[in-house]
Order: sequence, then C-alpha cells, then structure tokens
Amino acid sequence: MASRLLGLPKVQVALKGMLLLGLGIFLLTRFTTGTLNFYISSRFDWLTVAAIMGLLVVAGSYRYLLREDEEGSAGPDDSVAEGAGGGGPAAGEDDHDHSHRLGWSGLVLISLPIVLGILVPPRPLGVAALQNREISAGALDSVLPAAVRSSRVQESSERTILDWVLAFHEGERPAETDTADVIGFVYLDDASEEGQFTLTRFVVGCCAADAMAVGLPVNLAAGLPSEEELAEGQWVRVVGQFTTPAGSALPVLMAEQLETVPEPNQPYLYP
Amino acid sequence: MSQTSPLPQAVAERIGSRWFGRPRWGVAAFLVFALVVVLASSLNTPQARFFATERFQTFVTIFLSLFIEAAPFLLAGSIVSGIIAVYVNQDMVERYIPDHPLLAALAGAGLGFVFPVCECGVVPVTRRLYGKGLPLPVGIAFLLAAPVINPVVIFSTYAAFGWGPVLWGRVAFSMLVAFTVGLIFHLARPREILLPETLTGASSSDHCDDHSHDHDHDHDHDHDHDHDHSHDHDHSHDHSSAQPRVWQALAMAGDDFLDMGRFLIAGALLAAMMQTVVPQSTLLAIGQGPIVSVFVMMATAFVLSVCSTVDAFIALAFSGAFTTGSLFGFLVFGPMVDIKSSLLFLGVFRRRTVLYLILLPMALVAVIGVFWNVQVGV
Repeated sequence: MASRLLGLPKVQVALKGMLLLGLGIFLLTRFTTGTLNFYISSRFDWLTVAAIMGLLVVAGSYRYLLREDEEGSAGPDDSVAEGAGGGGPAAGEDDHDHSHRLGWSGLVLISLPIVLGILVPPRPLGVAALQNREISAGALDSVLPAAVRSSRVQESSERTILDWVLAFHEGERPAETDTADVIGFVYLDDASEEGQFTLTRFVVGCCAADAMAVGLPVNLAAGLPSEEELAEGQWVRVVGQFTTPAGSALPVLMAEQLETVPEPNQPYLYP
Repeated sequence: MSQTSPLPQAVAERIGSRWFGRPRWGVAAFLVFALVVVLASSLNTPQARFFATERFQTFVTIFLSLFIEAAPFLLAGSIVSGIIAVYVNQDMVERYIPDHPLLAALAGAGLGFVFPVCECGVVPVTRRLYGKGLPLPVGIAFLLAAPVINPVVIFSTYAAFGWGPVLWGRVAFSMLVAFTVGLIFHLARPREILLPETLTGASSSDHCDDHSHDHDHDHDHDHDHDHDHSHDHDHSHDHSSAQPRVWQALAMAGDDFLDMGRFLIAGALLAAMMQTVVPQSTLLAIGQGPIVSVFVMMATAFVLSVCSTVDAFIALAFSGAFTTGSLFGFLVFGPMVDIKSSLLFLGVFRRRTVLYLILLPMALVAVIGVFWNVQVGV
C-alpha cells in the first residue's frame, strides 16, 4: 500500500520537489544562523549560497510537472503506463526499470542530512575529533600547506596559533618582545607536563572532513587557574610570551593572562 | 556493436537483474547497524558514554560537512546533465567523439577540460552522456580523469606543490591510468557494464529489452528508436508547449541530483564513520617502506574521501613523512576512487563493474607508485 502510494507519479513529483526544497531550506538555515562555517571553509560560502538558489530553482521546476499533470492529465500512454508500472504489486522489480523513481530508502537517505541537522545541534569539531586525528598539536613537525606561508600575519599580537606553529616550523624563534595573544580550545594532552595544556584549533582547507589540528603548548603561571580547573574543550584567550625550555626544541607559551571566551563564530582557521 | 564480450552474457544479465540493482534498504540498514554496533561497543563507563556522544557529534559534523561541501558540485553536475539531456542529441555525441578506441579513450581522459567537474559532478554528467550513446571507453576515461584533469585541481596542486614531479606526475599518471582503464573497457559491451537505466536512450543498435521502461518524464519514446535521433530524447511533456525546455532540463537535474544524492549521502555516511572510528595515525603508522607506503596512502585517500580540489593540501601534510610514490597513490588514486565516488558509481554501473573500476586503477596506481619509489626515488 505504502509503496503504491509512493509510486503515484504525482506523489513522486511532489516528494522530489519537497525534498529539494527541504535541502535548500536546510542549507539556508545553516547559512543564516552562521553555523555554516562549522562545516566548511568560509572560502566556499558562495558555493553553498549558489547551491541554495539552485536547489530552490530546481525544486520550483517540479511545480511545472505537477501543473502539467493536472492540466494535460494525461498522455494516455503516459501517466497510465507509469502508474501501472510504478504502483503495481511488483513494485520491487520495477524499481530497476525506473531509474528516477524515489523509493523509501532513497527518501530516508536524502532526508538524512535534514533529519540529523535538526536532531543534532550544530557544533564544530572539538576535543573528540582530536582523539583519532593526526595530532600536530604540540608536535610541530607536521608540514602545513605552502600556500599558507604567504598569508601569514607578521604582527606578533595578531598571529593565530597557526601562524605561530608555521613560524616555529620554519625555524623562526620568538623574540623576547613578542607577545602572543591567541584564542583556542583547551586540550589536555596525556603527554603534557603538569601545569601545561595544549591550546588547540582546527585548520580546515575545504570542509571539516579535512581538518588538521594545530596547537601550542601553554604553561600556566601561578595565580592562573590550574589545568585541572579548565574544562577540556573550553575556549580560552591566552596572552603571554614564549620561552624555549632547556632541552626542548620547541617554544612554550607562558600564559600571563588567561580568560575564558565564548566559542568564536569562525571556529576553524583557514590556511 | 562489433565489440566482443569477455563475460558470458547470460550470466552477467541474470546476475545484473537480480543483485546488481541499486542499494536500497540493504545498504541503509547495514549503515545504521554498523553505526549502532560501533557506538554501542564503546559504552561501558559514563566517561565512555560521554565520549560516545561527543564522537557521534563529530560524526554528524563530518557527515554534514562532506554533504554540504559536495552538494553544490553535485548540483552543478546534475544541472549540466539536465542541460545535456534536453539540448544535446545523439548525433552531436557521435559527431564529436572519435571512433577509434585509442583516440576515444584519449578524448575521454581530456574531456575534463571541456566539462570542468570534480569527482561528484562528473558522475551524473557521465551517466547522461552514456544515455546519449557515448562509447564506454570515453565515459570511463572521463570519469576517472576529470576529477584531476581540470583547471581548478591542476591549479590547487600547483599552489600546494609548485612546478615539480608531483604536479606533472599527478596529471600524467591520471591521464595514463584513465586512458588505460578506458581502453580495457573497450572490450566490454555497454549492457554488461552499465545499469539498464543508464543505457536508456542509447543508440538503437544497442537497444535491448532492458529499457522498455524509461523514467518518469521520458517514457513515450521507448517504441520509436528508429526515427531521427534528434528527437530521441525529447521530453514526454513536450506535447504541451507551455513548459519551456529549460524547466524540463531543471526537473531532470533535480531527478539526477536526488538519484546521485542518495549515493553521495551513503558515501558521506561511510566516510564520516571511518573518519570517526579509524584513527588516522593507525594507517600512517603501518608502513613507511617504498611499497607499503603506496598502499597506505591509497587506503588513506579512499577512507578520507576529500574533494579533489583540496586533496593536494592534505597530501602536503604527508609529504614530509611519505615517499613521492605514495603521494601519487594519494593524489592519483584518491580522486578516481574513494568511498564517496565508488558509491556514486553504483548509480551508473553494474556492481561488478564498480569493483573493476576500483581494482583496476588501484593496481595501476600501485604499480606506478612503487615503480617511482624504487626506480626514480625522488
């Protein structure tokens, strides 16, 4: 019965139109609520805008088909043959003949982004994503895109975690006067020493699927909350200067100020 | 067609009609089941439960990011496909595509410059062109080469690696592999390779009973395959002039998008699952040798399923630790075949063909990568 209903040409046309419209509206909500960049690099925002418009226009084109069906109602060998084929009892077999027929599984799959998007509140990648990622947090020997280098900010207080990590990777060592002012989330690395945590951010080239983590080791000065008081994943702003401890090749950020900040609208850094 | 068949036709047909349809409940149920098992297996302690929800959140974010990133490209490919459906007829395809198999495969490998589409957009375009009678080798070569052989991807590779062996090697080897695989498929018959619905509307000499039905908008032409081809693909709603052709093209684009979208979404689900569950470092820790590293990077590319427009930047992250040959594994094999695109292939080809389309490029790229590591060693 259900598959018969789904097989009706008019239902098919209406469903397809609705699905496309739904996907368009889903993307639109992500765009208007500013959560789009939890998923993709802001460089590609315009693509999503184009896709929203495209989906709405394509969805609109189905209205023509619907209207045609009502008016023309009918090329006798048209909708009749279709109705018999698509809605017949042997619908399972017929699936293979109607390449564009939308079955129940197709319906479920296509609506999955919308359903998951509604049920699961949008959140950027966080600590959990670090668990099984190639973590270049702290370990600076990971190579990052060459294209990045040109776009690096030189003013020390404006540098992001990525800028610092790249600079260190290239062999640059911070001057005494360099003051870092960086935002990231707290990651308590198992390997880190006492009074230390890794200030981390994700670098996204295209979408969250290609995210890489970069991080700076941060030492907490006396008077600041200890790393145990900091919740993992908490976004913080750290101001301080770098020192290179004896025996370590990598500079450590000595936090002089530390304050919790809300999650930024652009949670990722872009190369 | 004068092509000979390597497969017993009756067998291929029987299997094809039975099992080699499109994924339906089976795949959907499998995905859900696998997800539940994976999540349930790590729910022993409250902390594990917390991490399970966190991981699920990560999974959803990666899934949606893959979908949101790929959707515009798939839509663009679908719209091109819809325009081809309405405005391009079989004569044009036959006129511009060379007959000779070598030239045809070569043309297919270079077609990406004409239709600059990435790995998601290329699939609906290829499917539509097959419906217009595109020879098998051309389509296969196009499908495999286009994600790399197009201006955008070549530029992003240049941006990441500059002029050097990685850039020209990527382009040359992609052409080579696509050309070779396309040529191999010259030996096969379209109806053994393609899904019946892909073939619908193919030339009358190829006509078989499989396409006695066509899709929703196209079905009143099944019986007149002998008339002038330029009318072969007219839309069934043509009889009413009220609907401009552009709307037909768009509605067909919508059909294509939903058709292919299922595979994209299934692929994004799988890729997101793998990314959430399999630690990247596991793969990378396995092997560094000249041979193993190639396979490891190919596996990484398959699992990550990132778009070919940015994979050069990902490869760069590995370039310090990995051999150049293994980078070719990542940069040549990845755009051709990954979880996402092999699921998309299922919407065009029979399942056995999809297997060939995964294994043949894999074997060729592995040979190239290992050869490079052993002989050239840069």
